[in-house]
Parts: sequence; structure tokens; C-alpha cells
Amino acid sequence: MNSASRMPLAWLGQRVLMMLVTLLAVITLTFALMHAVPGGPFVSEKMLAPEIEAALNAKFGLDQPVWRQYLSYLWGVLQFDLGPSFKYPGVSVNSMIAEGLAVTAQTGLLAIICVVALGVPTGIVAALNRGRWPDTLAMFVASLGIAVPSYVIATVSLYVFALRLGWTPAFGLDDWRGYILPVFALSGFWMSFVARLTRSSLLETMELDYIMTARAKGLPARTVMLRHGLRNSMIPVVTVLGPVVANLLTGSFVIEQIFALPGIGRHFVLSITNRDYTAIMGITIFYAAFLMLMILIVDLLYLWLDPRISYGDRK
Amino acid sequence: MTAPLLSLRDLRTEYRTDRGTVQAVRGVDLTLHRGEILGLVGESGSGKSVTCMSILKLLKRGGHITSGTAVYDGTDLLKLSEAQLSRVRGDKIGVVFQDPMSALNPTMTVGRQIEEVLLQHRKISKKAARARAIELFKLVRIPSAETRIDNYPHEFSGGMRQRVMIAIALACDPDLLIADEPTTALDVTIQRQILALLKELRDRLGMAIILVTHDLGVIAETADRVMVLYGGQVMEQARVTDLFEAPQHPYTRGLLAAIPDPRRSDSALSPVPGSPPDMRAPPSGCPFAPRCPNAMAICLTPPDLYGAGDTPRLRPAQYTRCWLADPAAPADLMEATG
Ligand SMILES: Nc1ncnc2c1ncn2[C@@H]1O[C@H](COP(=O)(O)OP(=O)(O)OP(=O)(O)O)[C@@H](O)[C@H]1O
Ligand code: SF4
Ligand SMILES: [Mg+2]
Repeated sequence: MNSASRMPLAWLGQRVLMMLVTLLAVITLTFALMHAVPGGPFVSEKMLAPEIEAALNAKFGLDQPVWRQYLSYLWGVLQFDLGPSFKYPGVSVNSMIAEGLAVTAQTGLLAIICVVALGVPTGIVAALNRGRWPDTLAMFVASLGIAVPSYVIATVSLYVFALRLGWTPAFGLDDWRGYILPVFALSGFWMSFVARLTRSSLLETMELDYIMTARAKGLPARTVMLRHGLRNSMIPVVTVLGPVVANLLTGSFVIEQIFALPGIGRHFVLSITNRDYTAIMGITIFYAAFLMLMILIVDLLYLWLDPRISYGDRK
Repeated sequence: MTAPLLSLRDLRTEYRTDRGTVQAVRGVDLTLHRGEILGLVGESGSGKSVTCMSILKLLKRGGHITSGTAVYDGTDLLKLSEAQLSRVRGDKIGVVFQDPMSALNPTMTVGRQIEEVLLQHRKISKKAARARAIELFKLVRIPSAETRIDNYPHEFSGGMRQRVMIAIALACDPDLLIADEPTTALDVTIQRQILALLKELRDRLGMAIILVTHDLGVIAETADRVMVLYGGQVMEQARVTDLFEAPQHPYTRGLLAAIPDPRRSDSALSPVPGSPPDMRAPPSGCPFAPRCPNAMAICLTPPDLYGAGDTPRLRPAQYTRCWLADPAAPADLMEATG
């Protein structure tokens, strides 16, 4: 039975449909919330003249009945248009996201690479050396990575490596060294988490019956673990990686703030303080869509990892 | 007589757990000749699995062999390093486990799982390994071998999976096959087929088999000789016919009495009244004493394993670990209990 027959098109179609329905719910909910919040976008500390406010409201369609606003917003989203920013005249939410994402994706992708390329092997090495010093050391560092909040890692490393030692720039991404600290701060927690998860999942898998079969075949211990243990133990790791990827690619406000990176996380928080409603909605919807896409990818990865899994209506 | 293929002497294995040390095997001796099928029988927890897995040091975490020798073909396996042992495992000695549902890797095609053991021990190409895997599939009579070889374990029934396990164990033409309850997880008709297959393969290929079971019916049908284990020790050992015709140990008699016709029944044993000892603190004397209908004061000291030289009642190659067989025991005592 090949992968295609285990993932019928009907299943995929159903999944995509479900995603669209969920997205519709997210859009409706954020839209409703934004309109339920007291005070409009132009109610600010400095009072605007009533006629200017009316003109602005007309420009953004806020004088229309709510259901109309909703339908036209929905129509826009369907065409991948998240509308204009309320705060910055002439700037679209699409371009805000694109601009923020350009920065966030760079650090985010590097952070994801660290999580996978360092977290997983660390867990494997720890499991292979269970109870010996490499295991103890790795798990000690990983506990720190989980316990210490990322902003503490960020500020301490910024102080030590950028300000005291001068090894890395304090902000900006102009120099390749500028990436080191933000990526480290972004990935520290998840790297540690994935290392621990890989280790525990691998050790658990190593207790299964077919591992004993592999040993009884005369395979060396390392081959037993890497060839027979690893693949099955990756299922929980892949499960967390989906949301982690979405999380890292949508940015961290705190880290972006500390390192002065104009990423999407920073845009999001700024749009909240600015009451930039369309930006808030747009980024929320973008994040939701992205998360759902990641979960779909995780489901497809399961298919590849475990040949017993098949989707659709097979008996 | 030629040198035995395998000879275990005073094997002792324990499991160190959080809740104490389990003395799983307490001084087992075992001799196996080439081409012989030796049955290991006993209730759950009697030490059957630990005994035969200790031969290849295939113990789960916490398992330690504390003493003994396991001389296989002139080498003491228990003295070998892991690297040396891995050249014996799967090559000279094959293993079949109880549950074919969990003993195969679910993420690998069965073909690869067979080829893997060939590639590990033989200097052959992948192509040759595949050809040999198909040949093995035919040997264990899996239909449509050429196409089934690329399937995953979950695409086979339990009986077919056990055939796959046997094919893996036989891949390198071992001289010894350890089969730990190979049919317990299967239904009765499939059980029969697998046992017949094992016997037929022994006749054709001439390997010896250690067959673990708690079903005396399986022993009657398949084995040449049998060892009855209880509390990590050998209680009785005899040729199969002798064990059924002239059982000596009270535990063996209990097991036999528990099935209506030992040569036909497929039912598992247990109805010997009482329950097995806690192997964290086994009885200091005869382990069966708390359940034995014939227990005497002397049974609180451990009995020896007596042979035909000690008691005329024992048949050649029959041994029993029971005070009733002591030469000093009154001659009529055993008659009375028999
Ligand atoms: N992994 C383990 N950890 C701790 N104790 C164990 C372990 N494996 C076996 N034991 C103990 O060792 C003793 C012998 O177990 P063994 O598995 O050899 O029994 P068995 O005769 O094969 O029984 P069964 O018919 O249930 O397979 C038992 O008391 C059991 O509890
Ligand atoms: S030694 Fe004693 S207790 Fe043990 S089986 Fe024999 S008679 Fe029973
Ligand atoms: Mg067992």
C-alpha cells in the first residue's frame, strides 16, 4: 500500500474544507471582538474634530452597517487582501505582514534549524549515553533552557556577549553575527524541550518488543537505536514541531523588542497599542491560517513516519 | 556421546527493580544436543523466558546474570563482549518471540527486516539478500512471497507474522532456535500450523530448538525432551514420553492432573491450587513446598536434583528436584504418593 492510497483526495479535500471553515470562524470571531471593544480606532487621547472623525469613518467604511463591513472584509480576505492599516495611512496590512515576516522569517528559520539540528541530536546522544556524563550534562543544560525565560536569556546574553565582550552587535541584522543572539534566545526553550522530548521518547521506544528483536538479530546497539528506535520515537517530536514552527515564524515580540528587530511579533503588539484594528485582525488571521497549515503538514509527516496510519474511510 | 550443542551450568539471573531484586533464575542447568527440541514448561513467572534470553544476554533493563556458564559450541557465551555476542545473535542462534504483533518493527517492510539480518552477518549484496528473503518466505510458506515481501507487518495476520519472525530467525541457518512461546498469542488452528512448521524445519534443517510454553499439550506434540521450571529452578527433566508416563515431581503431577488428556489438550495450565512464590524472597527450601500436597519437614531445606543413579524409579535422562527421590527416603513413600 503506497502513501497515495493512504491519503485519498477526498480526505485532503475534507481537511482543506475544515480549515476554511475554521478560518471563517476565526475571522468572524476576531471581527466581532474588534467591533465589541468600546471606542473606535480614531478615539484617541487627542480629540479629533467630529467632522474629521466622520470623514475618516467614511473613508474606512466604518459608517456602514456592521454586517456590510463584515461582508466586505470577508470578501477582501478571500482575495488575500487584509485591508488598509487604520494607523498608517497608505499602508496595507498585507505589506505590514510581508515586511515583518521578512525579518521574522530569517531569525525564525534559523531558530527552527537550531531546534531540529541541535535539539534532536542532543536528545539522541543523551539517550545513547543514558546515565553517563553526556546525558547528565545535556539534560542539565536543557533543564536550564526550559526553566529560564527567553527574555532573561536574551538580556543576559546581550549584556555579556554584545556589551561586555563586544563579540556580537547589540542590535540589527546587518552583520551575520547579529543573528547569533536573537536566534539563540528564540530557540533556547524549544531546543531544550525537543532535546528532552527526543531523549524520553527514544528511551521509551527502546523498551518495546521489536527493539529486543533487533538486538536478537545481532545488530550493534547504535544501529538498533538509530534504525529501529529513532523513527518511531519521532512521532511526538513531530507533533510539537508543527506548532513550534508556526510559533517561531510568527515572531516573538519580546525578543524582537530586545534586539530591536522590526519583525511581525513587534508589529502585532504595536498594532494593539495603536488600536490598529485591521492590523490586529489581519495578523491574527494570518497566524491562524499558518498554524493550521503546519498541523496539516504534521499529519502528512505522520503518514510518512508510520505506515500503519492511513487517512480516509478505509476499514 | 558427542559434545552437546549448548550446556548451561548454574545459571543465575536477577532483575534489580525499584521494588527489590527479583531472583528470576536460581541455578539452572540445561543440556541441549544438536537437532533436539527441548521444551521448557512452567507457570507464568517460573523463569522460562529469563532462562532462555540469558543465553544470549538479551535482558531488559535491570537484568543481570550473576553466575553460571553457557557453553555453546565450545565457547562460553556469558564471557563474550557485546560485540562478540552480536556475531552469535541472529547468526548462530535465532530467536522467535511470543507476540508477533509487537515483535516486528511496524515502520519497516518485512522484507527489509529479513534482509537486515542477512546483511549484518553475511557478505552479500542487497540483491542477493532480497532473493534469500523471498526464499525464506517460501520456506516458512507465506503465499505470494515475491509481493508480500514489500508489505508492512500490519498487513499480515498474527500467524503470518509469526512465520515472518521464524523466517528472520532462520535467515542465517542457525544451529539453535530459541522460541519463547511462539504460539501463545495465536489461535488454536494457527498454533498447530506453526508448531508443525517448526518441527518440519527442524527435520529439514537439523537445528536444535528450545521451545518455551506453558502448555503441556504443545510439549507432547512437539518436544523430544522437557524441563519443568518452577521458582527459577528445574523441578523435573525427562524425555517427553517418560514425563507423561512416569512423572516424578509433585509439581509435574499437578500440571498433568490439571489437563484431562495431556496429549490432546491445548488449554493453558494453572489450576494447581495456590500461587507461585514471590521471587524477591523465594522460599529457602523447596520452592514448591507451600503448595505441595506431599510437603514434609525436610522440604524446608533445598532438595538436590536426583537422577536415575539415585532412585530406581527414575528413567534414564530423568531428573527430579524433590526429597521424595532421595535415596534415603523410605522406598514406599514415592509409591504412595504416585
Ligand atoms: N524486565 C523485568 N523486570 C523485572 N522483573 C522481571 C522482568 N522480566 C522478568 N522478571 C521477573 O522474573 C521472573 C521470571 O520471569 P519470566 O519472564 O522468565 O517468566 P516466564 O516463565 O517466562 O513467565 P511467562 O509464562 O509469564 O512468560 C518473574 O518473577 C518476573 O516477574
Ligand atoms: S521436595 Fe517436598 S515440598 Fe518439594 S516437591 Fe518434593 S515433596 Fe513437595
Ligand atoms: Mg515468558
